[in-house]
Amino acid sequence: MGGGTSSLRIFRVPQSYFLSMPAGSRLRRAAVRSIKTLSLPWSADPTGTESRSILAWFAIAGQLALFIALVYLLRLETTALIRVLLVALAGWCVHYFLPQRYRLPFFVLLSFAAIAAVFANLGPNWHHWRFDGLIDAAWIVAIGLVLIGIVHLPIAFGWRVLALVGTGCGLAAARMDWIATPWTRAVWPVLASMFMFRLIVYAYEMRREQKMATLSERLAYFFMLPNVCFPLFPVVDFRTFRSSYYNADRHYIYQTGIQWMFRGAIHLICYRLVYQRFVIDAADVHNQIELLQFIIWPFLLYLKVSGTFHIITGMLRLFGFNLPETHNLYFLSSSFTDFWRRINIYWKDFIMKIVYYPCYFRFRRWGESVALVSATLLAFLATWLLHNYQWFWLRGTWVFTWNDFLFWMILAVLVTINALYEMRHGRTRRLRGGALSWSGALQTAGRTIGVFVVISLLWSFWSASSVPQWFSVFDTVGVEGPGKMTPALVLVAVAAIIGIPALVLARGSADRQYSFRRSVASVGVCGLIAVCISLPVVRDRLGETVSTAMADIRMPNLNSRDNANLERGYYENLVNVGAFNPELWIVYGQRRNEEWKDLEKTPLSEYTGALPRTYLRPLSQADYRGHRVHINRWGMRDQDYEKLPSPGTLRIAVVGASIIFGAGVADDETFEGLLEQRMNEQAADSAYPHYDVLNFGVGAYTSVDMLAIIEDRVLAFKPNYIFYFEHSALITRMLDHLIIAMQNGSAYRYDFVRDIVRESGIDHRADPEVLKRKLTPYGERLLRAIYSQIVETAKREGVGAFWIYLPRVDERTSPEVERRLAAEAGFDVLDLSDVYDGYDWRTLVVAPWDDHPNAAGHRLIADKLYEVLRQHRDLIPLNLAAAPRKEGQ
Amino acid sequence: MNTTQIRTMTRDFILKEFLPGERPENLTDSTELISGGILDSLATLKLVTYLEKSCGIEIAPDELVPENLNSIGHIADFVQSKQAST
Repeated sequence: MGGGTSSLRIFRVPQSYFLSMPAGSRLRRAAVRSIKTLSLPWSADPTGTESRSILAWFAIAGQLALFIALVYLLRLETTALIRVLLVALAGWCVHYFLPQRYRLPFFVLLSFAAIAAVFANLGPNWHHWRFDGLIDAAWIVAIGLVLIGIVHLPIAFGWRVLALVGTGCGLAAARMDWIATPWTRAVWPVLASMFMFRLIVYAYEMRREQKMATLSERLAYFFMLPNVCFPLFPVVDFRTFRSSYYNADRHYIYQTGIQWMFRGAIHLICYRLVYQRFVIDAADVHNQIELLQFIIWPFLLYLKVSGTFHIITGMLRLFGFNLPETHNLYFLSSSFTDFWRRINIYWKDFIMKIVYYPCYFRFRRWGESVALVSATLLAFLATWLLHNYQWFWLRGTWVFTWNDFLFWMILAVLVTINALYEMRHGRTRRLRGGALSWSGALQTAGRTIGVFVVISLLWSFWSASSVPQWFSVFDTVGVEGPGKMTPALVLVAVAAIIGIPALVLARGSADRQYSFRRSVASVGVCGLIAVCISLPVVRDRLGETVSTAMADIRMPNLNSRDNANLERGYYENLVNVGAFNPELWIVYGQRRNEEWKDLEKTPLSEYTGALPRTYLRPLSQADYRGHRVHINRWGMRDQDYEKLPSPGTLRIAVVGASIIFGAGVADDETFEGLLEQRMNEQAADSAYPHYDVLNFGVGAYTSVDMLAIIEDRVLAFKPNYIFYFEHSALITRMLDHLIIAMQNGSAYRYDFVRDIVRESGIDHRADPEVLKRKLTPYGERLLRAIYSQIVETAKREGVGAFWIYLPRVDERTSPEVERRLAAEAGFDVLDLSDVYDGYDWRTLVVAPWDDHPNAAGHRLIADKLYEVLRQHRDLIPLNLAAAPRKEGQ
Repeated sequence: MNTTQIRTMTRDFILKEFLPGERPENLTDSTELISGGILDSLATLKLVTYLEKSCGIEIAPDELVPENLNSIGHIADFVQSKQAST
C-alpha cells in the first residue's frame, strides 16, 4: 500500500516541473498560481492519507465516467443504477476536495440524494422523473430513523430488542398487506435491504460499543449510497464500516474501488452471456451434453450476485470505506470450508459473529468436536432461516421448499465433515505470495475441480423446480449428444477452465507491489476499449459473432425460457420465483401483484380443469391489468353478435392467447376490434357488405386449448375463416396444459394423445415436471397432430384456416418449427414478424414488467394485419382497400 | 507475562500449527492474520483456546474481531489488556 503513495508522485510532475523554473519566470508564477488555485483548500493538510492531486482526481473521475458509460451502453443492471452512479460521480468530484471532517456528512447527504433520485424515477428510462415518488423516499428515511431510534431508547437492552421485534412484526403485517400503508410497494425491498440485517449487526455492536459512533457514521451505515438500487446487498459489518473509513492512502482506496467496479461489470457481462445462452430447462435435457449444461448453469448465475457486490463495495470505496472483498475467487475453492470462506464473505462473517462463535463458546464445555459440529450445523440452519427471512422482506413471500432446506443441510454436512477433518489434520496455509510445491498445487487443483463439480450439482438441485424433476434429468446419463462434442471433451474443458487457474493460484505469484499509475493505466485502457466496443457504431462492424454476443449482453430482459415460463404462468405457482434468478426477481419486484394477476385468477375466467383449460365467463366484467374488461354473452371479449352471421357477412374467428385477448389494453383497443372496424369502414367497396371479427382469444391458451375451443365453440358460430395466432415457445406451453389434461383424463379425447402415451409408456401419474421431460421429445409430433386436426376440422366445415405468426413485443426467436408444421398441416401461413420494426419496443409494451403490446402496439398489429390480408387476396378474397392508416413512429 | 513473551509464544504457536515449514522471519508482528487468510474460523478458535490456557484469560465470542486478532502485535496487546483487567 505504501507503494500507492510513492506512485502518486507521477501526478505531481507538472507541479515540480514548474517549480524548478527560475523564480521570477512569468510561466512559473502563472503555473504556481493556477496550481494553488486548484489545491488551495487542501494544500495545508499534512497527513499522507490526505494527499491530493488534480491529475489523480481526473484519472479517477474519468474511469468512473467510463464505468457509467459501460453500464449505460450495455444496459447492465437497472436504470436506477445509472441514476445512482450519476449522483455518485457528481458527489465524488466534490467529495474529493472536501476536508476530512465534512466528507462523512456529505456522504450521508449524497445517500439521501440517491434515494430521492431513484424514487423520482418513472418508467424504464433513467431520465424520466416522477416527483411523487419522493414521498416514498421520505417514508424510507422516516421509518429508518424510527428503527435506529428504537436501538437508542434509554431502556434496558432487552427491552430495546423487544421493541425492535414488535416494530418488525408490525412492519411484517404491513408487508403481508394485512395493514394498509401510505407508501407504495416499491418501498419494501429498499427498506428491507437497508435494515433487515444491518439492524441486527448494529444492535449487536451497540451492546458493546466502546467508541461512540457519530450521527453521520450511523446514518451513513444504514442509508449508504448504492443501497437504494441493490435490494440484494452485502451484510456490511458496522465495526468494519467504521474502522475501514480512510484507513489507508485515499487514492489507493479510490482506485481499488474503481477496479472492483469494473470487475463487477465483468461478472455481470459473463452472467448475461450465461443467462441468455447457457440456461437450459430440465424438460430440454435429452443427452449428456445438455445434462452437463443443466448441472453447471445455476452455479454460474451466481455471477450476478458477486458482480453487484463488487460494484457496491467499489462504490463505497470511492467514498473512503476501505471495505474488504465480498467474494474471493469462489469458483476456485479447494474444499467446502474454503468455499464457505470465499463466497459471500460478508455473510459468512455475519453468521460467524451472530451464531457460530456464540454457539461454539456455549457448547465447548462438551468438547471441541461437539462444539464445532453443533455450531456449524446451527450456523447453516440460521443461514437457511435468514435467507427465508430475507426473501420475505424483499418479496413478501416465504421460500420454504424442500430443495432449499436440503441444499443448506447438505452443504452444512459437507462443511462440517471438512471442518472436522481440518481440525484434526490441519490445513495448508500460506503467507501472502507463498507457493505450494508442484505436487501440492496439482492436488489442490484436483480438489478444486472436485469441489466445483459437487457445488454445481448441489446448486442445480437447489434451483430445480422439484426434487423428482432434478433426479429425472439423470436418465440421460447414457444418452450421447449429437455432433462432435462429447461429454469427455466438455469435462476436460471444464477441468481445464477451473483446474489451470487453481494450479496457478496454488503455485503462487510474485506479490506485485500496488501501483496507482499502473492500475489507472490498465483499468482506464481496458475500460475505454470496452466502452468503444459497446458503441453501436463500433460493435456493428465487428462481425456477427461479436454483435450477437453484445446483443445478448445488452439484453436486460428475461431469456426466452423465462419469458415463456412467465407467460404460461408457470412461476405463479412457485413460491421461490426469482430466488435463483435475478432477472425474474426484478420482474416480480416491479409487478404490482394485485393488479397484475393472471387472467385465470380473475372473475372473468372459469377454470375447467379440462380442455380448453379455461373459458371466459359470459357477461362477466372485472378490472384486469389496468382496464375494465367486459365479456359478451358468448364468452368472448368482444361486442355482442348473433350466433349465426347475417346474410352477406364475412365472419372471421380469431383464436389465440393473451395478445389476442388484449391483455393490458381496453375493450375498444384490441387489434381484433380495430381490424373489424377498419374492414367495415371500407365494406362498401368490398365484396362483402359487412365483416364480423370474433375474438375467441383467451390468455394463456396454447395450441391444444385452441383445438378444443375451435371444435367445441368456434365452429358453432359459422365463421368463413379461422385466424389461428401463434408466437414462439409454443411447444413447451402446450405440453404444460396437455399434462394437466392427461392427469385428469380430458386429453384422451384425442387419438393422437392416446397413441403417444401408449407408445412411450408414460405414466401420467408421475410428477408433472418429470412427465414434461418425458413428453418433450414428442412435442413436435403432438403439435403436428394438433395442427392437422384443426385444419381437417375446419375444412370439414368449409372454413378456411390461417396460421398467423404474431410475435410478442420483444420476441427474439422465430418459431421456425411451428411455422413448418403449420404449413405441412395445410394452414395458409401469414407472417407479422416485422410488425414492430422501426419502433422502440419499450414504447409498445403495457408495462416494464409486462411485454404484451399496449394500445399503440395493437394499432400497429391491426394495420399490419390489414395490409397483409390485402396483399394476400389470392388466399383470402376480402377485396380490402389500400392505404391503411399509419401511426406516427 | 510481558508483551514480548506473548508475541513470541503466539508466533511459535501460529508457525507450528498453521504455517508448518514457513520461515519464521516471514511472520512479522504486523503480518495480517485474518485478512491474510491465516486465521480462519477454525484457526481462530484453536488460537483462542491456546491463549486462554497459556495466559489464564477468558475470551468472549464478541472479542474475536480483527482489532484484537489481526496480527501478532494486536494479539499481544489484546492478551495483555485482558490480563490487566483480570
